Amino acid sequence: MKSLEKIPVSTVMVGIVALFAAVFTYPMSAWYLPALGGLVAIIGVFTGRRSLNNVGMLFTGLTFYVLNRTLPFNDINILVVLGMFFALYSVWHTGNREMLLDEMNSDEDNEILERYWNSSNRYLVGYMTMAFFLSFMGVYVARYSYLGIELDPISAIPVAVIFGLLVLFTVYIVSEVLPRYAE
Amino acid sequence: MKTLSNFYLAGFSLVTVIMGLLTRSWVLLVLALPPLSLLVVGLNGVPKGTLDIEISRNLKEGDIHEGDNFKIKTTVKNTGETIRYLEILDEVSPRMNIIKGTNHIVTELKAGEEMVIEYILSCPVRGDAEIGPIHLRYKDPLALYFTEWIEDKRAKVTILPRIEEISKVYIRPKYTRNWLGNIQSGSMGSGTEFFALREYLPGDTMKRINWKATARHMYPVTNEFEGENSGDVIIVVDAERDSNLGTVELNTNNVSVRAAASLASSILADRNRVGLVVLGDYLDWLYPAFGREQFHRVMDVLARPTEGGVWHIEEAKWVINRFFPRKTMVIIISPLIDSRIVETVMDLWRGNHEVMVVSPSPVELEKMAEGIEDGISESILNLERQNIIDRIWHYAVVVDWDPREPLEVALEVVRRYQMRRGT
Repeated sequence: MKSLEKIPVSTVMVGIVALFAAVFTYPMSAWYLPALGGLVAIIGVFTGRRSLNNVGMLFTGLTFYVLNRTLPFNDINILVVLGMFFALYSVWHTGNREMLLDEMNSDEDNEILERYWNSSNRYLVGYMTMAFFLSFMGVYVARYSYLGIELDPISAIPVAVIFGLLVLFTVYIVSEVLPRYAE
Repeated sequence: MKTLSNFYLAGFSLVTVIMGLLTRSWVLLVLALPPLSLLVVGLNGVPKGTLDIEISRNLKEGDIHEGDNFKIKTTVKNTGETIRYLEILDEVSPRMNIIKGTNHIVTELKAGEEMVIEYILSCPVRGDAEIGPIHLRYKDPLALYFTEWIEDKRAKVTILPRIEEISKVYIRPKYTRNWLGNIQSGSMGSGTEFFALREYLPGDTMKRINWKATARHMYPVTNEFEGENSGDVIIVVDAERDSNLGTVELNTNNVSVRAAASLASSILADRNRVGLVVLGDYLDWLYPAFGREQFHRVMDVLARPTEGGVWHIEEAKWVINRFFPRKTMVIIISPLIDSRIVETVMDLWRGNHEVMVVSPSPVELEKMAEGIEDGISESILNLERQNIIDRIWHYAVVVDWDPREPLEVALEVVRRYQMRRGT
């Protein structure tokens, strides 16, 4: 399959995300662990083993978030935390799709799979962007929705998150569920 | 239905909330949001309960023989809304191999769009094989939700044994019947070969008058022709389990069945009647008959898969003596591993049957399948088999066939035998 040989592209994507995670974590101790997870995922994608891809990406994500759990709460860090999740999810999803197509494909040039690849990329980008903005909005709504209630620092954050989730749910009801009844 | 990813995302969200509260980390708490937002966004692509598509499948028409390749063309038409992700799996019997294209595909189908999936199958083993049903799966782009359907479109394919053309060797039964055929009967009849001259009788056609002889004798003389009749041939396939040597694709049973199909085709083409006895999983037999219809009946019986049965060649003798006409030509196709066959051949010969034995060499087949040569065991098996062949030669013509060579080459021995016999 000439036009569907995207395994190197996917591995490059995994490499970039894992490397960014490692660089961002540096100079903390064990900063190299996210990169190590990325390496395992790359091997998984190359050899067509989904379990390796899954374990590698999960390891990268877990080590990144656990090592960076004490980051200061500011705009850039919120972007990084949310962005890293969607980057890892997209790369993992892309790797798995590539492996699925690789299993199905047997011809030199398969237009049907090529078309699916292109359309699914388009949908993935759209869905990820939408989900990213939803999360981002949820976090900011939670952050700036100070109701004047004095809470101790321990309970203030969960309350903010729960409030953010409620807002997200309301947005979903208004944008998705209600229009169906309008038809 | 929800996929496992759906539950993993929800679980991940819950774990991060708990971990965030325990470690008092905003990073982990914030991480609860992205999976939830993915689930919310994913709802947009939840598949509907029904799928508005039309599926049709085209198969090659006509007979399919072992080793043939044929193309399957499946057309999928979307008569509803755009389907973002449609996975299609056209199930194929393990008896067939996909050599080009794929039966498993994932695609996007726009409203009203038609898509053709083509793949080529090879059929290495004879028997019945099934194509279908067609499995359809519709997932959302994030693979969080899915719905599955099974389109019960099945196609049954009968893979017939491979037929080798036998054009130079004519298998002619010694005993003929009163039906028209290609075998010269040695008596006057309505054939094409000149037989004798006789005095003209009223009613003889003008074109049968021999004008030179008439001029010589000074009275009208007519040509007489030799009658051409046909005979009965019964093909017996010895597919006993103990005699079956080789691999799944290349074994004595398969080779014997191919030889039977080739011989039946050739003998029927010569306007003889052909009967069949197969000692396989079941004792199958066909009463002798002429023509294309009988050829299809023979192929239908031979197409049934035979793993090797418990029926011995003696059972064939019983069927032939009990149900088949007397004075027929019996062709036994056997690897000649069991020496009891000698007695059967002898009994058939005594019962006024003309017997011929075609024996695919199991030694050569083993060598082909395994690719090894074992001097001592090979020599012993060859000696035992040669001993059986020598004993059978007293009663029947034996064709010792190396399956690596065309059957026609091995059948040359029949031609030489017929020439010696003067037929």
